[in-house]
Amino acid sequence: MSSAARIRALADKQAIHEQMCRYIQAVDRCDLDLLKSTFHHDGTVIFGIFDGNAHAFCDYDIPFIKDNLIWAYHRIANVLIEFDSDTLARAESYMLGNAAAALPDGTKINCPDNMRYRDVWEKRDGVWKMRQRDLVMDWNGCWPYAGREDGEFAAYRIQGSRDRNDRVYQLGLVP
Amino acid sequence: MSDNNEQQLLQQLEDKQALRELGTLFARAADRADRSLLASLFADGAQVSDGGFSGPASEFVGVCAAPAGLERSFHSVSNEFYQVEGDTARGELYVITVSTWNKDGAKTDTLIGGRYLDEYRKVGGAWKIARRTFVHEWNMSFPTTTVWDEGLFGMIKLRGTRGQDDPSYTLFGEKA
Repeated sequence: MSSAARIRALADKQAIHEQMCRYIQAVDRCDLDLLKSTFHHDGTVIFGIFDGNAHAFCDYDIPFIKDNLIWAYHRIANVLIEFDSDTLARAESYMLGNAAAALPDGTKINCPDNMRYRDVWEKRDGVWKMRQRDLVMDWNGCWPYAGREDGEFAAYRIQGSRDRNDRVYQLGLVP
Repeated sequence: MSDNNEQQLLQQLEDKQALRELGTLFARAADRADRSLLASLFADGAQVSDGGFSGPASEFVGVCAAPAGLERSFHSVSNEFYQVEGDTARGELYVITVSTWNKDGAKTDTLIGGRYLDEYRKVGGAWKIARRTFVHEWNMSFPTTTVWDEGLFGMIKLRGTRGQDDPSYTLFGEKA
């Protein structure tokens, strides 16, 4: 393989990895436009909570998250990418998440979860986006909510938010 | 920068990426109980020290693929740090493993945080694990609270398994 091709392969893997982080950024900040930007318009998903067109999924998913989760935090790892061509790749990634939800009686719970994403990525017009993303569930927990806002935790004044007030926007890291 | 230096830098980037993928493939092999994939990740004569096991990788593969009472596991790897020296390398990886055990009729979720301290060897152009030592840092155990069939989690129909029927095999195929 030529040096140019080897550099391109490294850069392509990095670009896909960054788009995977973008997806999480969008979900945790509830940024619909950003979420859509990680999928091709004709992409599809199998998420169980929604199966079908990827952009329709985005329209469904952001309100779904806001309605069902008080907060959510997704952390990806274990990224494996295999190229089928210069413009097509398959990928798996692990997601170790945590979220807070309220039971019907108002009791708060923590829901840590282990999921995997099973993807097909395609490069069109020089940009890698998902053509397919499926959600695989490996584990979850329903723990009593143990978060605190008093004592030393009161010192954490900068809290993540689900809008453009979040610091990541102020830093210019999101378009 | 000379062309020679650039070639070395490119090689180093490729080596580190390949080592990261090796660490991730180990997690996949362990979580899918994929004996042949797991065996393919070790160099000849490789040694493993992990919890109660200490011995040759060829024996570890069988132990890792069939622990009594393990229903599922999830090895989440991060903080990969590598030093490459030609065809050998050393590395440190952080891992959080979440497992569900079914023993004596009771199910327990166990979270273990630790590190892999590794030695690697490049064999025929492919990086392999020559020695892996697991360093334990912390653990937590709870009676399992996993929800499979109700509410939000119940809607998610693709489920991970310890076997070839895991959804990932339909995308990646079986690995020798």
